[in-house]
Amino acid sequence: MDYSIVIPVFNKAALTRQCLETIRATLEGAGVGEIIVIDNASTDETPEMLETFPWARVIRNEVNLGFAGANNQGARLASGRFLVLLNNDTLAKPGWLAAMLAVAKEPDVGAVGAKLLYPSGTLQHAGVVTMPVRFGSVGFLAYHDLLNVGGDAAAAAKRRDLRTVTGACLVTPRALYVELGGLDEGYWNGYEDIDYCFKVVARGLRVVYEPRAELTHFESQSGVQRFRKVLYNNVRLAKRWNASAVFDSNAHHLARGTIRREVRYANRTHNYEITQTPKTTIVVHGDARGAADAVLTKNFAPVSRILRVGSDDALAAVRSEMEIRGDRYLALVDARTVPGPGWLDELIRQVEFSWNVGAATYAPDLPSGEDVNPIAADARCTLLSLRTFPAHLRLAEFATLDGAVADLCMRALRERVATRGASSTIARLPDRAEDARFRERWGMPLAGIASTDVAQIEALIAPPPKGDPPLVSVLMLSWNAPEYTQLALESIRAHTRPPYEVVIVDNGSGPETTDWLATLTDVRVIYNAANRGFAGGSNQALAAARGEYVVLLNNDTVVTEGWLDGLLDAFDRVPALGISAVRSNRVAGVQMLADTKYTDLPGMHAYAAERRRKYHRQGFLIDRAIGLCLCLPRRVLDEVGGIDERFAVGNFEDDDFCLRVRAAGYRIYVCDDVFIHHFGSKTFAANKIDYVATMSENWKKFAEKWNLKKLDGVDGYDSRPAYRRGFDRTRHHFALPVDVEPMARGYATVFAGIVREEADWNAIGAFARRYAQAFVAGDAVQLAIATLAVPDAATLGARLAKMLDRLGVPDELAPDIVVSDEERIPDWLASLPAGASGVAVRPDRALPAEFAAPMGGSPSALRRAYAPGERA
Amino acid sequence: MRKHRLHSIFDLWRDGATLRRVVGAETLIAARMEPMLRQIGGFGVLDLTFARDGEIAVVPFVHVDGTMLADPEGPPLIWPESAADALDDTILDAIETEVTPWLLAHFLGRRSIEEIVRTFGGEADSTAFAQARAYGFAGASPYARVAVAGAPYAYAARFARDKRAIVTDAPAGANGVAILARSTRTLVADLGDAAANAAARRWFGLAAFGATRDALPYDLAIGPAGADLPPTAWRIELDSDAPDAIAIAEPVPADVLISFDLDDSARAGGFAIRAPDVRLRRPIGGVATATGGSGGEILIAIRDAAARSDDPDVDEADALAARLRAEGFTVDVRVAASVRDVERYDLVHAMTLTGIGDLGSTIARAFAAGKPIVATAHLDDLAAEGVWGAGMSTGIHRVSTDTEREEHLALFERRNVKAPGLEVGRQDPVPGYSEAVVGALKLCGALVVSGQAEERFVRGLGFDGYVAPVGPCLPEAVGPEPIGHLVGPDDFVLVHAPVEARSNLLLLARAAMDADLPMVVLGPVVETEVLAMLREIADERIAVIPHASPGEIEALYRRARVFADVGWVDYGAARRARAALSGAALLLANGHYVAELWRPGLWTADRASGRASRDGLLAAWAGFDSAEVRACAARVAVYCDPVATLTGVVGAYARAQTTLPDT
Repeated sequence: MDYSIVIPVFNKAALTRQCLETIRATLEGAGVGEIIVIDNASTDETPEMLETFPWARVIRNEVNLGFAGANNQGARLASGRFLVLLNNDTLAKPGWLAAMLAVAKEPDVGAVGAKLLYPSGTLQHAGVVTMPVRFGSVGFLAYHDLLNVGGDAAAAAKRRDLRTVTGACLVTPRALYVELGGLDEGYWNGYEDIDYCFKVVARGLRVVYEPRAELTHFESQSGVQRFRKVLYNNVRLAKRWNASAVFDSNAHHLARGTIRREVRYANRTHNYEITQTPKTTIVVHGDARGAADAVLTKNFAPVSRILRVGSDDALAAVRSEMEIRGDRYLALVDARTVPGPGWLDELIRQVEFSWNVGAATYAPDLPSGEDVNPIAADARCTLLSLRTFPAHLRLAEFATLDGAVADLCMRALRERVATRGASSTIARLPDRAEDARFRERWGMPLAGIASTDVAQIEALIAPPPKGDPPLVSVLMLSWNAPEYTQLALESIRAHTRPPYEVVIVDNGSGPETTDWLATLTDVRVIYNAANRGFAGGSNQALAAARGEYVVLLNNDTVVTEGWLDGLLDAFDRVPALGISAVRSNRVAGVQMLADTKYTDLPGMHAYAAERRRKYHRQGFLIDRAIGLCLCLPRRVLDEVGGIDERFAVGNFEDDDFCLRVRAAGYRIYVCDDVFIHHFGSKTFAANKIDYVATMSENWKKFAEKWNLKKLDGVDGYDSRPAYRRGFDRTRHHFALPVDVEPMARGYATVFAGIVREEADWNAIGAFARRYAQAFVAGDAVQLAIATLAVPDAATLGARLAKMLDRLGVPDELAPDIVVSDEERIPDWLASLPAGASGVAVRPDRALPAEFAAPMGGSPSALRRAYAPGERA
Repeated sequence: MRKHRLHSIFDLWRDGATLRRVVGAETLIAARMEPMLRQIGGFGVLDLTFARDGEIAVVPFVHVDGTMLADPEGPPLIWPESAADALDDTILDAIETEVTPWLLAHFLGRRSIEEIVRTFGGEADSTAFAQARAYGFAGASPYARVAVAGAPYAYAARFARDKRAIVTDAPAGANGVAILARSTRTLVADLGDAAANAAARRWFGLAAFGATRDALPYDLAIGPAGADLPPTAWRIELDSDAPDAIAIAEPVPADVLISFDLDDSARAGGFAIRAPDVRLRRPIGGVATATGGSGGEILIAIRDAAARSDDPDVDEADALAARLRAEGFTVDVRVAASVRDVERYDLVHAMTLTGIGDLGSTIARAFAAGKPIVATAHLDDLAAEGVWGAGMSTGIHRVSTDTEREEHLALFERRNVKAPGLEVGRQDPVPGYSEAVVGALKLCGALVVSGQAEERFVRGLGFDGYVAPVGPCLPEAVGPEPIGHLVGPDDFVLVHAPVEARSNLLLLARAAMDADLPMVVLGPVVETEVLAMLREIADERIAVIPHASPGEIEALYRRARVFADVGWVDYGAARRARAALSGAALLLANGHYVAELWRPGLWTADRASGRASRDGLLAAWAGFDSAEVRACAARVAVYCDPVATLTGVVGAYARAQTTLPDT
């Protein structure tokens, strides 16, 4: 006998009748077979109904054995060569079984599944795929691929191998079924079919989806009890197969030119979206010949270009390729690496494992399996998902590209960007070169990055000890309406913990305002003869700011206790944070709070205090914050520049700024625990500006700049496509003015030093000691130190603080010393006003030529030579 | 500070003074992270153990919001309410700072799908933790183990309120003893040896372990078969596989932790109960007598969803069918989808138009075949809140963060919830109401309604046929069966409704716990998610009985002190009437028609208000057995007079026959 069809039934007599009435006419070409119906103790008219089908072999159970039990019972009674498991809520179409048997007869096939359609014609089953679950007691989930897609979809028309198909209609050799122990009766009406298919694959046989076999499936007619044990079934399946599961959902998506990607959603959740596979640039680096293009492109994933560079140029080339981040991949392949077919697809599958994976790498020394997160990747065969790396994370100077990439990944860990490992589909990798600089910086050999020891990751991400609070520059624009500016300033003085500075740019106010501003002794005021607009004025303020953080604050606001601490605290907690923002009573969009019922300032402060307590350290990520009050770190300002001045007067300049911040890979966060009061549109009102016209005009400019469209039916636009293209410094960076209030304002001499390795610090640190003895605060000198290596700026800062302490220099007398992680010094020095001069503490190629003279001399000699007077 | 009050049955360290004495970042000795199948944020839960000066305290079930680990929009830890209320925020912040890098490293390093344990203290502290783990103590052991060992005790809590209890068990039984300690008057427990007793005393801070038995009689004894325990009225025999033993389902944390229902999972153990039966009240009400002599084939069609379980519609249809058969009719009760031969019946009676589903097509086919159609409407959603309320009550639980939940519940009461994921419309009482229900009404020749209010409502929907306002048919009397083992000796609130969103059980369970009243939910599980949510918020005071025999159901009605029905849909008045006739005080939703018909002597509450439900439960509890309640029962008896009901229904049949439209 060729086949035995086993149909378990429990009630639903009408469906069973329909199934049986039609099935015989569909079996042509399938050979000789039998139909066994297992009645699982039905309580409706099923027994009587079954009597009307005398050609079916009917077994009546006294108790419900469940789906697995009934199928196993049927298998024991069956005599066909192939076993056909079939649900009673199906309606077969002609030729289905012949098509399935044709595949099942292939010697390496262990199970065959069919195309199942809902009565509406959409797909119910075209194969089952697995996806990872990163946390929880279930390691993976299985779901129906192409669910609810049109039944005639091309993707569903191809026969393909999978790891599992549904048991609603499954053909398998009976001998194999018996050998594998049939369906596991420990499951209750669910997942036993997946378990069986996994056993088939583990046995070394194929599971095949055959689209020529088509049936209608009236799914989920089995009643509520079926779903009670879903969780139990899930856990049972996961416990058994966690170690050997392969998450194949993205493998199938890649074949269709898409990826299924975990994305962050609002309301602190994550979800999935299916999107086109981003393009990959492949950089083949090294002096060997390298794999041929045809080999490199033997993937489903699209490749935009292949760049071949020699060893000497590799670092610069990769740096250049990383300049524009955005939603694209960068694959680094050592020329000696021999990739196998699908190597890139596999890396993409891993890098899309979850939203916070930034790199995927092959390494023969990694353990095999799906749960492999090494500390970092090297450059032998690695994929970087550029959107996950914020702009300031660049490749640093290392002896090897391997070292630079590993260093980048390790620094990215602190931004909570992880690396995934892959251990298949690669033919050969070259040995990993050593990089002395890397070893020195991280205290481990490059080979150490293949470690998957969680304790090592914990050590790497440990937060640095907290130093002194950073200087914050609070920046406001003023254009008449001085009473509001006055209120804002008073609230800043009352509710802000030092150190902070206030910079006000007056945009051409009348004498009432400027006269008052002139009386302020604790505020730096920049006066403009004419209104330079919000953007122009803000840029002047940003350029004048000296703080490590800057806050752009509207002048018609009243800040509340702890406001700045709340905004700054976000930067300690939220990785890759570009902007922190506030909640307010009068602000567009989700930042607005509608339940503000206070009627006076004390009431407002009480309301803010209650929010601060209730929502301590809570908030949410968004794509656009309103410019009412934006706090950002200096490093982000350096990356994206100032406000685009094409947006005259107001509106959309904050949208544009936020979009640039997002495009540069940074996040925007609204602090639920920081509330400030906003009077709202006082500048517009006081100066009789046509708000609507400004809005309309600036929207046009904004939309044109970013190629945006307003969304239908809602007041908004989707900025995601724009920022996913990435930040292009040549187009998106807006340079701050250097002619007004340069950063080094008031200094006559700047001493500059760059720490590239620990040895540099010996000389620079020694100079810093003499400098601290030579000068005091207020002298027109500054020491600026940039570090591009270990130790980082925080460590150097701590060392300097200790040194000053040991030297007995009180804080208020400490000379200006700036330590930075960034290579900003050349730009910064370039903005020195005429008359200031620079001196290199230690010669460095990044310093301008005039900073050539190496420093020597005692503290008193230094003072004599370089302390002409107090700062301007 | 984020806090929750879920799975509080495992919160065994609630003494604020002890927590304040012992808990701090510097006294943390161990952290145990256990992945869970489903909970806020999806990462898992933490048990944190602290030790100071020989004292131990555990803060259990701290939710770890995995998403917040990677993208910390808020703190990743969500504290159980007892700890959050007892401890200063700065202490909790410091503890969070201590454990977060460890958790984050795991998040970045691998999938977190297995338990991880880390000790922080010195060697002595590590030893104490290891010992507690070896004993299976909560806080140091996986929840599956804790739940199975504690399950008999969680069940026994219904017998233990203010009683004297004695326990002999293996060390893991200590978890259950700690659960019982909340409600017993006296508790003595022996874990088998002095070391285990000493360890449990220290771990749980309870003197019960190893305490000396006194000579006074005990009420409840728990132990394995053959244990040396004094004679008691209630006894639980552990590790029993007797045929009538209560099964313990294998835990699937956190959706299934303590469960006695094998529909959840496989059997993990069992225990037997010996309990005295409880006194039952005698119901009032008329007895149906049949005249006989009628004839004709009647189909009572019920909507598909009703067939999944012992639905109120099925009960009412069965009761009506029995009465009609006694009069000589031939009656079939069938699910609408299975009706293929509507032509063979003389009349079709549709039971409930709410959630009409396939009933609509059956009615249409009957109409096309020229058959008279009668419907029992059960349409009482005057405010069009049914779908909105049901969706919102579970939606709030599903999507609200811990901080928002109380806020959203307050807004819910004001019918003003607006939040992402909570966009449930209020326009349509049931999906397709306007078309399907109104369309079906047009085909009906007559309607059976509960009273004038419902009649006005259906007239408002355009129905202009005959309307019979009658009470429901009540099921035939069934002899009660023992329920002492199910509910214990104390009074309770009974809710007899399917476990589904429409029954509003989440709000009612919260209200019962706020009122400190034991509640029995009797009903099949229709929506697994609602069951999971109910388990999350319920503690040992809420008992879910998904399966009960007719005799047990009868006894539960006759024992319940309060019968509560504040559901979002009208399941029909039969169960409310049965409860009233059985002597229970009623708490009904203030939209139910019969609430107005039967007043006074019953209590009502706004379905969207947890506070009103709590107050209503307390008032009904206090009013039980009062003259007003008895008078209300008498009115209900008149309303449900069997003769009047049957006459009304058959009268509707006759009118439907005579008003057949030309076809």
